[in-house]
Amino acid sequence: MARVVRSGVLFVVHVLAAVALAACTSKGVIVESVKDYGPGDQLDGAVISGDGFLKGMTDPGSDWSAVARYTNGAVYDTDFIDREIDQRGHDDWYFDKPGVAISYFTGHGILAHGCTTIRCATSSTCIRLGANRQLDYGACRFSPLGAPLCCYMVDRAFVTHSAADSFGGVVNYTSGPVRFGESRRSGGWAGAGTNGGSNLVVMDISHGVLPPYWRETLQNAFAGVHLIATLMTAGGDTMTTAERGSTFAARWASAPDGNVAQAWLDTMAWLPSFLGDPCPGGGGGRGFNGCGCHIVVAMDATAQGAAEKMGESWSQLRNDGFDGKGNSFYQARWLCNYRLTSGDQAAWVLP
Amino acid sequence: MSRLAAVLTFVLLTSCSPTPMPNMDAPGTIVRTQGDTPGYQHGVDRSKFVAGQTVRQRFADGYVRWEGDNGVFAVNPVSGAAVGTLTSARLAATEAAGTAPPSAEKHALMVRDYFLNAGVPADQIAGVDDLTLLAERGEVRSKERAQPVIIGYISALRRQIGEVPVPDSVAWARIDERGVVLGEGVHWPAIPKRTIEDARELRALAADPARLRTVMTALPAEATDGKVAIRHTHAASRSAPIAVAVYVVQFMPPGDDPRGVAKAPVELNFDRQGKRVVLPSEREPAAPETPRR
Repeated sequence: MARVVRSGVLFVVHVLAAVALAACTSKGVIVESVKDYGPGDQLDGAVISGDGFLKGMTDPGSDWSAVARYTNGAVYDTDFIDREIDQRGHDDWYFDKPGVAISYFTGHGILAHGCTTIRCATSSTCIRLGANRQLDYGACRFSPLGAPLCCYMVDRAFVTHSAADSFGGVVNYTSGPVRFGESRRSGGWAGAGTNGGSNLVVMDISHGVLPPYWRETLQNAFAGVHLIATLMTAGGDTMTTAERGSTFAARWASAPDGNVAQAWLDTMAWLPSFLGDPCPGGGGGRGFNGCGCHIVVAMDATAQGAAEKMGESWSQLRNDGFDGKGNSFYQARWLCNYRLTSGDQAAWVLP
Repeated sequence: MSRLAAVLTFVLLTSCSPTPMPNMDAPGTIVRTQGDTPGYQHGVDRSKFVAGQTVRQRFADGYVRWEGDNGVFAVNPVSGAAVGTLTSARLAATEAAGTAPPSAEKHALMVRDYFLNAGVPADQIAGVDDLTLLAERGEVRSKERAQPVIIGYISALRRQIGEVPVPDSVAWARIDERGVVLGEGVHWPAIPKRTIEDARELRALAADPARLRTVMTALPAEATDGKVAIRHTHAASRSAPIAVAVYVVQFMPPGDDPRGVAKAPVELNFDRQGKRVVLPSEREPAAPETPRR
């Protein structure tokens, strides 16, 4: 009799745990893609890449669900702006909606690279007076495509093209009103409320991050989101590659227990090899004109939290219980389309 | 047996019966029709990727998967693309063990030898590209910059048939110092004889710039340089495989956007008649737009 009662109690506990986990789980996918930037500026491949990701994740039988698909003029810049930071924004209705696990944007990035024409041999010479009469410490940055130049951190953004844009079509995710992933489970520590949702944001854009500023570029955008994945050019430009989205989705379809961050990196290895300019010294292509990398960044309140997020599988990505509780610690992981033999800052920046 | 019991039994049996496996190419050399340039089908018996001690085979999410405790070896039965992926937990444990990766040069040789021994045709390997995997960690607001660390390489074979590159074909792997395969991907389809002949004709055309311009009348004025390549359906595709010989051009679209938009190069493919070729991966699906609030 006692055994029957114990079995019954265990059964109830398991059912309650499953219900609780289901309540903590997001499975939605939203894709916003912009190809049409006006006459003479068509980003061929952008909508196909976004659609390829959405279709690959939500084919019949998948337990991911398609939340929304917007393209071209139906992609408003306000879709990405946090309402608590700027009340013109409505990311809680769109890109960062509760219940969304993965938010995918594909379109133009911006050119501004922060690099001067001042040659350097060490970063210690790259100091200038900034806009607020504060010292601006730069980096003596180089790439296989160019000599070392003094470069400074600049905000990064992606671009929309809609008659309904309220921010000039420029979504500044560095110092602008962009916050991803704030939820009841992350808490409102980012000052963005708790009405967000995304656990993975993908920005399939040119110059999503420029070396070595991966943490500075993204820290404000981390408000609970587990991972942000994007493209980093190290000399050259990104090619809009129609296959990128479907190839990333295929990483989930082939291995749902695989690592999400590594899946984004491995995506590059599958892309066409020598379309696009080569990277001097060997390599290149694979979605870049020149030298570039797929990069993923994780942030949380603790070093362990950041490590756990970088280690998430696709199944774990859905768990809103893992939403970030802060952005004090980070991990970054990236795969570059060329050979590096030195991983220290000298690979990107002369110290 | 009561009717309810019969129904429950039927439901149980049908829900437990395995999904039938789709047809796939057998691992090894692929030739569809006589005269094709052979491809290579990677398979679980030729791969050194270890999914686990006990492996279960099933068909799910469009992939035939061999699933084990370490990871999964999966094949897309439509494209033939094969991939080996460690579980997230196994990848973390492997990297936490801290074994230094082989040098880039050694890694490239190891991967090339691995795929040659598996069955990739030696005369189709144009070279090996090294992709570098790095990681960094630290405090976001620290004044000290953390040091990136190279945690491994992915080496990827480049395919060429005669003098013609085949950029959509892939064979890549990440291998550790002991030769353990930590991840891999192979998509190396057979190429029809007709496509090879078209590529030869295109090469002859490309070698004669005056004749090229009379045929390629649709080439944009900005496209000053091009190359002949064989393109085929990509690895993630679920549609019937095709391969075409094309003349590929790339150019930057003219004009500047006042918002400082980073314009991306345009890439166009043309066949030997000068007609624009739209690859299957470039066709925009007609999908509905979600209504906005």
